[in-house]
Amino acid sequence: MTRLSFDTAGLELGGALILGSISLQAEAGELIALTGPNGAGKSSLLRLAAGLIEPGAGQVTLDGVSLAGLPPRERARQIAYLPAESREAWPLDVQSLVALGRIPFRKPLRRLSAEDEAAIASAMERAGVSEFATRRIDTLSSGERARVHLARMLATQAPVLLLDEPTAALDLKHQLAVMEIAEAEAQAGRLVIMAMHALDLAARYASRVVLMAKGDIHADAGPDEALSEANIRAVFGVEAPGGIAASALMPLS
Amino acid sequence: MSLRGYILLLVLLVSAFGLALFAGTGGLGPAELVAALSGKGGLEAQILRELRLPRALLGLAIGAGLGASGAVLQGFFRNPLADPGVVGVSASAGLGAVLALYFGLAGLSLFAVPVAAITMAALGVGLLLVLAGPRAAATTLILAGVAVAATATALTALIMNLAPNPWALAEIAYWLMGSLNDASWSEAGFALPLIGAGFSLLLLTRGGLDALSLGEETARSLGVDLARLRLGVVAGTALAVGGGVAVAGAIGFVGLVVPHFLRPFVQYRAGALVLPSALAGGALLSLADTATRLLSGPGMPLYLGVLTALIGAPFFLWLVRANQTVAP
Repeated sequence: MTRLSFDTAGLELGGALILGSISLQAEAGELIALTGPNGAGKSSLLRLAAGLIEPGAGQVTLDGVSLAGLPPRERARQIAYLPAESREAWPLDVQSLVALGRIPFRKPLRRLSAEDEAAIASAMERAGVSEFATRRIDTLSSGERARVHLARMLATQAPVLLLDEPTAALDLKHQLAVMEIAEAEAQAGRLVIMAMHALDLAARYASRVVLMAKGDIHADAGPDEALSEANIRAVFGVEAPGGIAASALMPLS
Repeated sequence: MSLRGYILLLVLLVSAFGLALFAGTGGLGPAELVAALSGKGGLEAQILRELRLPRALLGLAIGAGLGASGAVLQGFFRNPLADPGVVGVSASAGLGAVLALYFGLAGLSLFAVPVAAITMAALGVGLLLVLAGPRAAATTLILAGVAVAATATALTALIMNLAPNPWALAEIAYWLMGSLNDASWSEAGFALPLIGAGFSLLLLTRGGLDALSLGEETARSLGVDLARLRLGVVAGTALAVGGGVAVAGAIGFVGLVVPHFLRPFVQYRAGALVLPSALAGGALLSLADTATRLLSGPGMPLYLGVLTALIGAPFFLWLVRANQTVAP
């Protein structure tokens, strides 16, 4: 049973307080929406969870082991991370890009194993990018690219998936597609934590919403409770009569 | 790269090696090579064994080192304009070698010139990394490289300025133009292991380079230790380029032209580019050296660095122009 915990984790960067004292437990099977205004600390929290930065105080543990003490490769096999902006330096083809997700398992001077190939094929299938397998990434639309990067992340087959605003800059259909993929991963027993601004999608898909404000957790509950009228007013300074309603949009099947 | 691609490169490499051994005066052929290798034979065998063979091997190795370094630097900086010459590593290595020549260290030990070249090459890459930062954008990288190269070139010029007599000046000037004319087994003896060590380090960076094609943050999330990768790039480039410069002088543009040309054939994968670039770099430099050897007449020596720059500079110009539309 995978369990990611923040134990009074704090973070300062250049003298500025980024995260206060975060305590949070997340378990396999959850789809957690991480939301809050710009600068609330969502990305920093995800980067702490990915082990990319170390907390200045407290610790972040995976199944009781501090991330700081985990070898990078081992950590990468357990936790997959998708940054807010994925920019490709070279116009790779889709298949090669998705294969990068297998790097934590690759041995030097070896070809892709059958296991790697299966993981890549399955990830492309789940993200719905199999049909572009041989296309070059720079020939795809931004929605298709977003799904390719999602496939790259799924190919690692890590039990913990961290996504930083994967739905930003996507149209309605692609936003729904990304949420459906995330939901399926959570139902398959993975822990999915996703930073996002689309509150109606969070209300609809998330099993739990963590609402952040000024480097601290303001609310941590089910979507209805966390996204209540009072919380939205306090955190965003916006009126949302009756709280945030779940999006009624449906993908065509 | 496909198996067919590798076979093609290997055929090219073997042909280049064959030309380096057998082309030219003397009418030498494989029969003389067999005689030379078994330690028998007359003058022909001796020419092959003592002159052509070390020179051919050095040409291949130096070209392979430059090609691999270019591919690794381009992958590491995520920039198709990076190359040991453009980013100032070759100039730094040249400065080290010239320092050793000027202070007469070359006479003290056979290893003085290569050690000085490699040390300065490592300093050059290190300085570049500090100046440009690991996330260098195209402009920052080129500017930092220009600064490193300019500093090294200026210091080299200062040493030539201070040269005690015209002969010392000429020695340095000719040496800088790059040549394998004086290549022998003693040069091969120290340069081949150094270039080989650098090359092995460069090969180990391939997985990290692949991961870096999605940016530094993603690479780290994939378990790549960036500090170790940077060390591998610095040490590998310094050894592979420094070892070559110590023997043949500064030879530009091989590291730029070869990876750029091959990139589409490896589907733009940064890691997969390193080995083909080494093979093609070796073949290219070997062919260029054979051409300088054949074109040079008595009293008119043609220098290897001059030839590669004459081919490379127009290509660089074209690359810069084409890159305005396809820059990552």
